[in-house]
Amino acid sequence: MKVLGVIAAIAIFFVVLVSIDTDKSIADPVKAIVERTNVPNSVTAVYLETRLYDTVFEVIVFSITAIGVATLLGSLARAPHENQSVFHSVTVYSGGLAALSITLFLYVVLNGHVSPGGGFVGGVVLATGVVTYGLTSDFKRASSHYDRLRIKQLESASLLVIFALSTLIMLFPGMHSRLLASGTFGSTLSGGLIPILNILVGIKVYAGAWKMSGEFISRRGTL
Amino acid sequence: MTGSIVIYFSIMGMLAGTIGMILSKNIIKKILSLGIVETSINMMYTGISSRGGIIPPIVSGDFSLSYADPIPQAVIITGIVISFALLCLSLVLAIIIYNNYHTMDVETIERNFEREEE
Repeated sequence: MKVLGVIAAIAIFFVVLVSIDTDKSIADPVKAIVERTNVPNSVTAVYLETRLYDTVFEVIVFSITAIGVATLLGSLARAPHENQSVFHSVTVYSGGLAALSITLFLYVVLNGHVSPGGGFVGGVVLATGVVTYGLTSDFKRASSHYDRLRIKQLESASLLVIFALSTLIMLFPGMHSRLLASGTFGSTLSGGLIPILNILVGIKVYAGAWKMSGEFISRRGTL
Repeated sequence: MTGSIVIYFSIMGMLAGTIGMILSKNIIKKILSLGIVETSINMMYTGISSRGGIIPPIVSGDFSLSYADPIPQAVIITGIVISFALLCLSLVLAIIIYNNYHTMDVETIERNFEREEE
């Protein structure tokens, strides 16, 4: 049975390898996208304007996975974790790294439409910084911000606002394109609703990624 | 040229990951192979987007440069987050399976499961 599976896999990928046309020249879509949206970063323009429908359902899938991980791991016992520190210089470094990642998150998210970056990247950057801080110096202190800053409520609120804004953009595309055209090309304040969506997606991805990693760490225990 | 090399290597990576998923008996190794497949698919989309040019598609006023295609990149930026979520969920299921059967070997789990059924 396994041999049959391997033969089938090799056959399928051989067909793909033969049929793929790697040198096919394509029409240049960058000019059309940038002129339509008046936003320099055409990747952000695609996933938050022309393919917004796709992004909305992607955010739904991510939220459902975060709920699933939290629910499935919720039935397991928590590992005891006490205050541990690897050694003191790491504590200092990881605090600085967390501060740096917060700054980078703000930069990447706010300038996601004029320079490389965007909501997804920003959320992952922030989650990486905070998880590194929690693993190397003080996990209790790192996880206390989740309740103190009301990240759970913030996540749900940003999800609702993402739905509302996306529905608005999809229902009234003419209004949003007038808003996009009114901004100066290349300035941070241009881009209509795209920077707001970037911030919300960043918060959403950060909250989901921290929730999933934090659940794993609190079940396994730190180092 | 670079794009086609990337595409061929990513197809080989997908094949290696798929065969690994079929042949390995350990669940963690299966999940790692799934990760290899996902990374290869991301790499393939990057290769596809570089067919028209390799300059990052962030325009500063000059449209005559040969920019990379932004649409595959925008598709895969959501795909990266989805693959992270998928890996997380499958690892959680692996933890639950380990807690129930105290092994990661698929055949042992199957035998134990059949014994429970009877």
